Amino acid sequence: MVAAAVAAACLAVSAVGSARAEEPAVATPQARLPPEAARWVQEGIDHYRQGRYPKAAQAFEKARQLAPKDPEVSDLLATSLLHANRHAAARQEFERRLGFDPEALSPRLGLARVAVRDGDFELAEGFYREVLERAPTDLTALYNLGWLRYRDGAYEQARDLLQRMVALAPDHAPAHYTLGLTLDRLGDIGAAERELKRAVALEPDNVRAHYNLMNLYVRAGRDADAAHEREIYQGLADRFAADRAAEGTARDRFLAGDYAGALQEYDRLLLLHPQSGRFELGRGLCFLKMDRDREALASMEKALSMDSRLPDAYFHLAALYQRLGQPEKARTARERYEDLETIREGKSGF
Amino acid sequence: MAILALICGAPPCAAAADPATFVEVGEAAGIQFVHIGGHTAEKYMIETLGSGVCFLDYDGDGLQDLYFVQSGTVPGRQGPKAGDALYRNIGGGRFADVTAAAGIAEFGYSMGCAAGDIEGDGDVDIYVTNFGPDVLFRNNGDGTFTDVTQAAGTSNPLWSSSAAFADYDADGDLDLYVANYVDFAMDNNKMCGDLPRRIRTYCHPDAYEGVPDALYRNQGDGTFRDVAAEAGLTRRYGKGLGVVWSDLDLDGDLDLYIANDSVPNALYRNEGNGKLLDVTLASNTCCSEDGRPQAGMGVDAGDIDGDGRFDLIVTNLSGEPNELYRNLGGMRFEIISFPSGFAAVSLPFVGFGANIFEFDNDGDQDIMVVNGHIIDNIALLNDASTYEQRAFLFENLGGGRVREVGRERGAYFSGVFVGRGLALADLDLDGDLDAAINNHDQRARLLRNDGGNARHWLRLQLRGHGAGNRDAIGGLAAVTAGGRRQVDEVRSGTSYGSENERALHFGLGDAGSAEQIEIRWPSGARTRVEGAAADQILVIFEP
Repeated sequence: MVAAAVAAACLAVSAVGSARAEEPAVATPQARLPPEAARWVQEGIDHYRQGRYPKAAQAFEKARQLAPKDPEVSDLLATSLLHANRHAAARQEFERRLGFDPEALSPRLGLARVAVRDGDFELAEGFYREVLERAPTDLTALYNLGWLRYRDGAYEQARDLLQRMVALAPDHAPAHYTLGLTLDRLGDIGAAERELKRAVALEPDNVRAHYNLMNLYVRAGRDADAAHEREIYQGLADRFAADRAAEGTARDRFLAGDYAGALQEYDRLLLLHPQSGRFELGRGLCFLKMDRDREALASMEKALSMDSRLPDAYFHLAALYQRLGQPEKARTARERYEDLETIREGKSGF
Repeated sequence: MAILALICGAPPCAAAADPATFVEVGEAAGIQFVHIGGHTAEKYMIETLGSGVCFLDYDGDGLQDLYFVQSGTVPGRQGPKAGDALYRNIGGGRFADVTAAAGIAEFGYSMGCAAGDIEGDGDVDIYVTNFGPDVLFRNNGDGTFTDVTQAAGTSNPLWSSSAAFADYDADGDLDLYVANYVDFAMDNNKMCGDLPRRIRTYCHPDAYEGVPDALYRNQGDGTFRDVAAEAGLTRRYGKGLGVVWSDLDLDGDLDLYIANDSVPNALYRNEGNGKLLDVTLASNTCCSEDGRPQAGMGVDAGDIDGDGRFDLIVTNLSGEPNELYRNLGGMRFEIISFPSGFAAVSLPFVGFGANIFEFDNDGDQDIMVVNGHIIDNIALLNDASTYEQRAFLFENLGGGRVREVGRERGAYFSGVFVGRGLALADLDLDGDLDAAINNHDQRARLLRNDGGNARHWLRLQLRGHGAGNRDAIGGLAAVTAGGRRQVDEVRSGTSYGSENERALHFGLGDAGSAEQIEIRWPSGARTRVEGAAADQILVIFEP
């Protein structure tokens, strides 16, 4: 259930936030800040880029104390707090920013994101509307307000917003997908089909678009098309489930002491997902257990090059460097590990 | 046709001045039950789920008694010996613990319960789902029970969660569906969490394989046989947590819906020949609107939008919306979770027990949901989440929309608990529905509905003929009052590991009588009653 929560939360956030990059553009306000504040900002940015949000928030908080009305410092602090799942503190900081910068857009977008995570869609809509009043072509606000209007059953409003959105960003698959759902609810089946197909064209593995195309065809009595989409949907769903199960198999073998078997599973998974730092970390752990330190080291380093937010990898890397007589590198890795305070909600498996 | 006006309730107030409010009266009513989860540092997965609660009239006195399911100390560990508890409703809003006197000795690590008269002998028996073999208690008819599990063949050694009775094959006796969860065992407890940081948490269900559910067919001689495979339940194994039988296509037999955790939910259409056909994908009830499986926990069926068809609700994990599947007919559903107002508020919550019911007698179906996270140390992992969470009460606004009004309807809904089992009954026979809640590792709660009876109501107790299915599970009633037609059916199971009373409760609003009552019995027979005064319990016998 936990990983599902994370996945769902990520889904919701990406669905809501995908019109604009989820991460804020990390500004560099250091030049205009007092040196001490600039130093804290730089440290916070370093933490932020490594996914160490609580540490980032601590650094930005120190910078804020020195530069309380710097808008970018405030944005960075609030966004770090949001990523660290400290909703109330994030909300407070976004509100504080609005207090000294009442026309700003970014704190409104931030407040909307907090509201969506808290399930208060009405509040979120209000913030997005305020953004659109000030910036009618803001893609984040357009898409998210359209998504929220759809969620609320206001399909005509959703359609208008999302049509504006796809006109401005024609390759935005989530917007085409949500517009497709909206048109389907409005009974415009042909247009809905076109939008869902457009989403699939942009993202062939878009499982949700395939699922809704299947539903659309079932309702329309187009059995052959429904069967085709069902096959694709089922195939994608099975693949994702198989990957999850395979990871479970690898973990089971690992826990049972069958490190060679676990390694085989991770190798297979990496063929399917060659950029998965998590699977590479799994390989590294197997090597570690098999006393193949050099290969373990290579895997850990590779895993971190793919995904720098793997505290387990830093943890084991530190031990490996120590064993291999590289104390300085061991110390750095240990510090990185200790810094990674964002605890993942979910299973680590090890 | 025989009809008995059994009890006339208190007359409703002249005007509905005060809204229905739920008042917590558990301790005052004599309910001392405290659930024990048996949490350990090893984080055994069984410690997460918690237990259900069942309303049943075990002594046939017309008052709803309570069966609380206990988890207790995890197997193989030393700890307090805590078992399930049976409370007899002694009237006047009071309950007495009769567990020992009734011969109930259930000390397994238990999850849920279901109640049904398996022999058709006129008294209700109890099935308890466990981590480990389940238990079937036969009601001896004298206030005591006998464990007949082995003789009945229903021991089901798998980790089971919810169960529900129904005469799925229409042979006149009650069969039993048992939802089983995963293949966790005490000796295959996996390490999950962030171990380098020395934070151990409970494993995700992905860490274990799903196990097959059981469909026990009543062979009419006091024994059951698992016919899941031959009935057609051959889809990949789910990780079942909630189950409901309901005639979703209104063709006269009971269809089956199961809420599964982290894998697709399952909907089986009853083909009427002893076979159940998997129609999950085509029905649009497997998943979220995006086609993603969710962490289904509690489930119920009921007519939310007043169109005469039974819709489905499923509670899910935080970050996932609770789902409301609107029944379009023909086994097709439309997901209206967000536009209905049911979903958004649920996003930060982990939903378990859930029931569709009428709480304010205004003539439409409302919803109660109890919430509580599954990970007791969730605050270490995510400070936007809490283990204890408030419960929800949704008021039906009409037009397929609901609004969460809990905090306006009782202090309980402002408090935070680890909600699990939820069951409903009119325990004080005053014409409105009360609630019992089994909270994980906490004291059980009894919510008395005060003021729900400010509007008119009508309660129907269906009595099937013959030796089996005396409670007419699967029977469908349509009540027309004030020009509005409402439907409901007699169900077993629902919610999470829990069971509601059998009587069907209809709110009539301002209507002082029902123009018409139509009954469709499980046998297919029909009964029509013209003109029935409001504010009474009608016992209707199958012709």
